[in-house]
Amino acid sequence: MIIFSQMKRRATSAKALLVGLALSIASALLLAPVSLRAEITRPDMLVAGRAIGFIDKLGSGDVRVGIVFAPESAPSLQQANEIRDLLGSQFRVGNHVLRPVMVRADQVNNAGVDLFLLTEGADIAASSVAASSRARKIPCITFDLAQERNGACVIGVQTRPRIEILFNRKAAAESGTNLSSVFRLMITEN
Amino acid sequence: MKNDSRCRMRSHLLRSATVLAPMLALAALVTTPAAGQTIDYGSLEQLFGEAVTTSATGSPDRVTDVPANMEILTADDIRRSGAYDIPGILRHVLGVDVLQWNNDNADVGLRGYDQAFSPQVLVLIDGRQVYAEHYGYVPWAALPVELAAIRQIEVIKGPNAALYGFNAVSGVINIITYNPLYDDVNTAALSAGTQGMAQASAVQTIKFGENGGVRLSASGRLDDDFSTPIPVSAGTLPRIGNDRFAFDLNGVFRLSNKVQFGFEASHSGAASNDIDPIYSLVHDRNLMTSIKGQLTADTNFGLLQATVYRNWTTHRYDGPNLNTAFKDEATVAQFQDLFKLGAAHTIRASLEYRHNEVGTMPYAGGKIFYDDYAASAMWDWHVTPALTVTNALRWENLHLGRTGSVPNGYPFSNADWNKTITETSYNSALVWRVSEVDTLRFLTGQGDQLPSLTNLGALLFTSPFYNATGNPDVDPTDVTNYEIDWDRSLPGIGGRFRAAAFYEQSLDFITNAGVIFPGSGPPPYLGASNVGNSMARGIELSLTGKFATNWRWGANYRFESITDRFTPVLQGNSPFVDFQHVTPVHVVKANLGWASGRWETDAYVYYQSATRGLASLPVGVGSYLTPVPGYVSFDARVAYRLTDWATLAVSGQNLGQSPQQQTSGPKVERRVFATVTVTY
Repeated sequence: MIIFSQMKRRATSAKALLVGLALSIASALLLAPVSLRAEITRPDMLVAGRAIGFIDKLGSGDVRVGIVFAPESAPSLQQANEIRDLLGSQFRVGNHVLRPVMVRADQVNNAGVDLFLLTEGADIAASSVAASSRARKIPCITFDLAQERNGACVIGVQTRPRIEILFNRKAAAESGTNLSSVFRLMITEN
Repeated sequence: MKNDSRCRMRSHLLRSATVLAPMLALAALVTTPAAGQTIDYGSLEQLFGEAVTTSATGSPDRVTDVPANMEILTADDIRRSGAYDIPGILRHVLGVDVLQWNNDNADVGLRGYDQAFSPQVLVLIDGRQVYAEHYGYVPWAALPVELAAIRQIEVIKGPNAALYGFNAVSGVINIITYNPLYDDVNTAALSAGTQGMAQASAVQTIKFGENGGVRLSASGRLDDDFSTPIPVSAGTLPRIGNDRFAFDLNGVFRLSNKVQFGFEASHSGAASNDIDPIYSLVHDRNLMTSIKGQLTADTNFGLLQATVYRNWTTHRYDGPNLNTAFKDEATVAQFQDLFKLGAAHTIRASLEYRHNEVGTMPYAGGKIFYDDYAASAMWDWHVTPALTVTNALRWENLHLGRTGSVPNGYPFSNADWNKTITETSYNSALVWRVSEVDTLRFLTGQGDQLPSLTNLGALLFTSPFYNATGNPDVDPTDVTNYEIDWDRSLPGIGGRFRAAAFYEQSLDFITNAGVIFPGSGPPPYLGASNVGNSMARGIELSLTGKFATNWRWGANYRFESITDRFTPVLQGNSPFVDFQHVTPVHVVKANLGWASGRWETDAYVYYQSATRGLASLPVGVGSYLTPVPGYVSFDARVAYRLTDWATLAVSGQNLGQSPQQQTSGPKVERRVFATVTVTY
């Protein structure tokens, strides 16, 4: 009898714990900020920088990286600032030295850069980046995989949970971007 | 005869070209031009955060994506193993069996099937075969490679003959060295230890800007063999001291932005005591010389690679009744095209020609040779981002021949070697990334182990008491493997769990001495023959992880059960091959390592359950089984970085019981040595 009573008490406590946990998760989800964008970290930038190393036309040495952002988009501005801070005045990776240049969405056509890095949330800039990329034969790379899939950028970089490099063949052909053949054998093309 | 052979060659080349030409045409039509370079393992490894390999399909893959059961030992693993030779490193790997016969001589098998002069594992250095085909074995000590020059050792378990051809049946071990175009390795090391060990090794890279690099490696080693008693079954030959030397020159140059030329020249040798295929102690001296050229071009037709190499192997073999020297010459020419079709398909098309010849020994005057023509193709289809199907097929057409004289009473004439062996091998794999952390692999492969040239008649021994030779009628051993693997990455512990279940079937195993040819001699000739079939079933489990930032660990277990269906030969005696009784059923390996600041320490433990070993019958011809008790052995290494450029390491092998019975040969002894390494 005593054992049953103890078991009941334990079951009640377990139920209370589960309800508490569920309520905590629900509150956390409801109160969480709308943007779940992951912060760009140094390892992310190293992956992107190494992927840049396989773009044929960039050769080796200095690469002016145009960080394209939309000032009216908070996530875009935030990511642009993160990337600029990570790159500092220069960011050495492999045979390249990446030098950041902040590029507002409306200044894409005039930016003196070797590569566009389109920030997440800068959807407004996507079409002008794609157009400029085609017209001026400047490759575009992004951490926002949707921008690679829709053809605004040639290369999409995912670092979590697993490193994946995506390559848009149509955008590459239009912007005259070639990657090392060996590298292309190891990435996902679409 | 020569004209016939030329006609045959032309016809085969035409046939191969017929297979390859449409593929090249297709490649030209649909591939996109892409600039690039040969494989820069370091850059790709840094980018993807994991080892990269081309050994599974001929196309570069991340190790977690390969359509094969593969283990990759990195340069860190090699250094921290504390081993002074490659078998010592491989001994720590799940699924690798090492029979340590002597201090500098071991045979390596994969998933059992290990034996004296183990013929079932194909070994390559940077894609160049170092497997000695004249006798079907790997002279590990004589390989022209320094441990410091190795980027990674890739171990593929199961047949991979659709890529490599004959002899890649139990698996493939591809030793990948640093590329002097991309990697700058400069190191010198001195070692001294027990059993009179003294070793010096140096690796120097000379860079020519961004357009080329040359790596020079050289080493020498002297040491004594174990002093433990030689079993009576292994004969009465006294031991000799061991020595080893190696030189290697390896260069890669950029001829243009899209074309590279690589070359390699090596000369190496090793002398040691060994246990021969009939389980007697012999003295072995292997001298190996090679030259290789390789041209790689990134073209509109894909990534083209043409490779030509030639290996010269002199194998001096001194036994109680046999003193001889085989001189084997192998010439290989390979051409491959690797290209993408659309976004989801990777194709590799390849042609290969191989010529191998060796003089008959110790009866000189005959020559056994073959010309092998092969065409192969691999198709890798990324069905979805999570699902990949890979299929590879290789067609091989080998023309065997013999020229020269035969002794009186010999059971064959040269015409008996005029035959063709045609084989088709395949590898098929489905790799399914079930979730972000789980990967399933469904694998099957089939390949053929070619009888060695000795098996085919290069051995021709005559005496008033007995005669021995090969046999042109020996068939290749056909090996088929079916396997399911499950990998689960464990980010929480920075490691990985892997489970594999396999079933392998081998048909027509070969023995060196299995048949007496009636009517030959006198005395009648004893020769090689097929003895029957064998089936293996096994499970492999492994878990690796890291903790507290400085610690790493691993543990693995293999269960394997082999059933032989061998026909008793030679008046009922066992035919020198037995895998059912000699393969340990349970093997456990574990390691623990810690590295912090200037210190690096690693310990390895190895357990195998009781088994038996083959030994030579004291009277008559044949083998018997002798018990090998279950045992536990330990290896360890402690290293301290004295300065930024100098490290002192103390390593030990077989640190537990010494001497210890690990094979049917002499017991192994503890070995301890110290190494000072200077890196600059």
